[in-house]
Amino acid sequence: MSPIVPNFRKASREAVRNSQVIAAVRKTANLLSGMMALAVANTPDFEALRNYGRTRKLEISGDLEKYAQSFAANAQAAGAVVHRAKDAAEAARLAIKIAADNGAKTAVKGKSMTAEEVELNEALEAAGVTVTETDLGEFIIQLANEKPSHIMAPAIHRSRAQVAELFTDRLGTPPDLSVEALVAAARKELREKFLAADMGITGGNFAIADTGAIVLLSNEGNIRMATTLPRIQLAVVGIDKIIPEMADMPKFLALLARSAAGQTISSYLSIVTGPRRAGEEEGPEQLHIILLDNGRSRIAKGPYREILHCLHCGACLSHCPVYRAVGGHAYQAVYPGPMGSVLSPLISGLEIYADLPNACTLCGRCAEVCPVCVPLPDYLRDLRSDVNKPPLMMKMAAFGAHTPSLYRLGMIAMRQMLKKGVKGLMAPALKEWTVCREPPEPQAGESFRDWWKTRSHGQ
Amino acid sequence: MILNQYLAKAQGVGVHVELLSLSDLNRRLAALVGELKAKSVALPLIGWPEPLLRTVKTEVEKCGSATVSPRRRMDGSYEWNRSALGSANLGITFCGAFIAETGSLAFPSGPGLGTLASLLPETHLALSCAKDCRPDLGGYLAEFGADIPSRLTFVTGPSRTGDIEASMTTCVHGPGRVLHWIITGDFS
Amino acid sequence: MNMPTTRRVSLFLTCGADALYPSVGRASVRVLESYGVDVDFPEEQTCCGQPWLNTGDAKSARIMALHFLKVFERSEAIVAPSSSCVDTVRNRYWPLFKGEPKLQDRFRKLASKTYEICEYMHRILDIPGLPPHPEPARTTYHSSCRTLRGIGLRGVAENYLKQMLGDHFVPLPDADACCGFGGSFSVKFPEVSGKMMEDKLGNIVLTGASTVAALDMSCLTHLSAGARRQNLGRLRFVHLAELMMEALEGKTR
Repeated sequence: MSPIVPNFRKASREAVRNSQVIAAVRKTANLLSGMMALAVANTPDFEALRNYGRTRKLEISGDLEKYAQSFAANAQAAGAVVHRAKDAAEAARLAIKIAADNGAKTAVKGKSMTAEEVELNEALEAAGVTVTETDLGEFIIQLANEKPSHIMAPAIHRSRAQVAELFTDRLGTPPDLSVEALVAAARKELREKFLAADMGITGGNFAIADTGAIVLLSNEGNIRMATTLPRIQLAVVGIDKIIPEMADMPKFLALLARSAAGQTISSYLSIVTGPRRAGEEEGPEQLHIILLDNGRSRIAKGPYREILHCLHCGACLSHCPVYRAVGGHAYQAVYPGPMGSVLSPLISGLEIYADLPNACTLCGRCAEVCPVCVPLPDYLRDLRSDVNKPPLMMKMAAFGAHTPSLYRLGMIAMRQMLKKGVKGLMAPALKEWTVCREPPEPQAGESFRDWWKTRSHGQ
Repeated sequence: MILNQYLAKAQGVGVHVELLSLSDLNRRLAALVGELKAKSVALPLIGWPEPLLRTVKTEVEKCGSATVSPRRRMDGSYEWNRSALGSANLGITFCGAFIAETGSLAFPSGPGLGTLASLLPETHLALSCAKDCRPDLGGYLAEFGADIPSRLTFVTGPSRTGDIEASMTTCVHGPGRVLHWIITGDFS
Repeated sequence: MNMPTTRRVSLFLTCGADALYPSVGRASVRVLESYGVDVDFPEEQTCCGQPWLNTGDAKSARIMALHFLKVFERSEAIVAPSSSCVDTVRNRYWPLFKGEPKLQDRFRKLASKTYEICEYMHRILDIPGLPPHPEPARTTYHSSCRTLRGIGLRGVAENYLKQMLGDHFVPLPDADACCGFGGSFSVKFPEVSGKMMEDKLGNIVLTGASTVAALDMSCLTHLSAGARRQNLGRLRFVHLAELMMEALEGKTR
């Protein structure tokens, strides 16, 4: 586990100064949100689809264990080996055992935030398995020894020039390559890894309860490689990814593809039901599925249940003004941005991520774009009740603020103080306010209440 | 009607899609193989309408290209020669279902059906019969009932990424170029 | 034929206008009165409780909500020159009383008759147009998050501005982005708040406007204080009601 205690104030203070990162984040976030808007505008029944998504997800999160058991039984019947992991540590142990039992020394991996949650790479590497990330964004950050900064666009914080420099440094490519040339270099480098790997590791965008299928989306083709070439396949899937029936899938896919990248469907859609069957020339000999709980069953029973409906499309990140101002790393969590500010404290502990529910202006953009209508701002506001201890000043102010005479005195005092200089209990708040602003300036002249009084007497 | 919807969708995602008759196929194939200077062509042999496969195989060989196909073992199972497959620069597959709603080509797995031919080479040519167009994904999935193949793959345009500055770039791990020739007329 | 009845409105001043911007309160009264609305000002009113609500102190927020109910429950309609305060009364009060259906019902009734002033003019008074402003200055409009996504008012203020100012109204680029205020956020994470503010001020400068209007004085307090820190010259920050008053009365301030 990382020894760093997350501190959003400190991390964000540094992040806003990193203009290169912020420019890269903003450029991509703008493009992604633009593409989503266009795709949504071209889908006449998108609101109906969103409502369907929310309603269906409410059924699922209301009975998570039933669907998990049904999925496990059907996946086993199709020949997969299903493992249930109650937490990240158990999932990592299971993955290491699967690799060891099969003598797997090399693995190619598709992008999976669930695997990040489990810290799967670190665990497997420590057990002697070489893991190569194959999603281009993940490959870039693996070369740079970084963490993803966006759940859909992991290398969103890096510019083309920085990627070119990294490739020159780590892969020996000529300097300052174009995007096309960088992609070609990655293709060449990774093709060999795909053909040689013992194990393919993926997440799962959906898991279908009634057939036991794992559904995987990708645009690059790396997921197809990882689910077709190696002799062992491992899918690490959160139990929140389960949907009841195959018939639900096209609708959730429509929501996810539009919200993630403004697509109708991704370039590749792979529906994986069990391992290779008799007579087939492709596919793994064994398919292992680790169903990860890691707090999800607990969350499903609590007041923040709908966060489990999240499709991990990343739209709330790309649209969030705070995320766009600081980038993903400032959150110091596997899941950043609005969905992450809800999910990270719920998974890892409120005390660890107490800053995150506060790191939001409640602007409401995330709820507006969420494809399954997760009430993110409401959840962030409610989480503040769980993490914040109201300061003494606020408690005192609360007493004054509903007592009309005290309130009136307070308003007068505030005017006077702002005119003559702030002291006492207000001083700490003003000190933070003036980090980037001058103190508020009350208008000169009589107060509204005085004006009203004179006026009513005059009439 | 749904064929027109398919054409618009597929073109929209970057598939070079064309309608042509079986009699045009020889000429067009020769041109493509010539243009790509394809020394080796990945070609799964199962599932094709017979006249279509015959035309393809004959024409590719006439162009002097080698074909790489899943080999049938004694026990009836199939296997790829992976190193030969890796050097193919064109994959030609029969696509028995394509989806108008999304512009997707569907490839169910099965013995000898070889979906790697649509993944490893830089160019993928899919051939279909016009009658095999389906309106939507949901309807197509329902056709399988409880009998879903181990791998069901949908291909919608070329392999692409936006991972560097959201700049759309093709040919990442899969083909950078996808052609779909839909054969009109009844020949099967 | 029914005689047109006089509409009665209770002004909810809000803390911003009470402590800092009396002109916003005065303008609200005079605009409403110029359309024949009978305005009263319940002097027992205090704060809507938003600062407590948004920092997670639901207990204190409930106390404020109950006080608000006591002061305003009998009003025919409640009008405030602030989208965020209206959003609080309309959308945040009733969920605070989940186990108390009778009380919740009273809060829902309260919610249904509370309006932002610009919203009230558009939705209730149905004012189609405003007269031209006597001295139109180049003006842009900050459509605050609570106006857009809290009370769902889109394009209404902009229309009124166009009618009053003609070509002097310049839309703000990236208008639906948050200005970075966010209540407690502005002092908990002032560096991030400041960065978002810089972007908003940058867009304001791009429009070449000398006046910035909004329906939320809290955003404007943040933006004007930032503009002074950044020495952006003489920018005037006003509630839309102030420009309306000037247009209706044919004189500036």
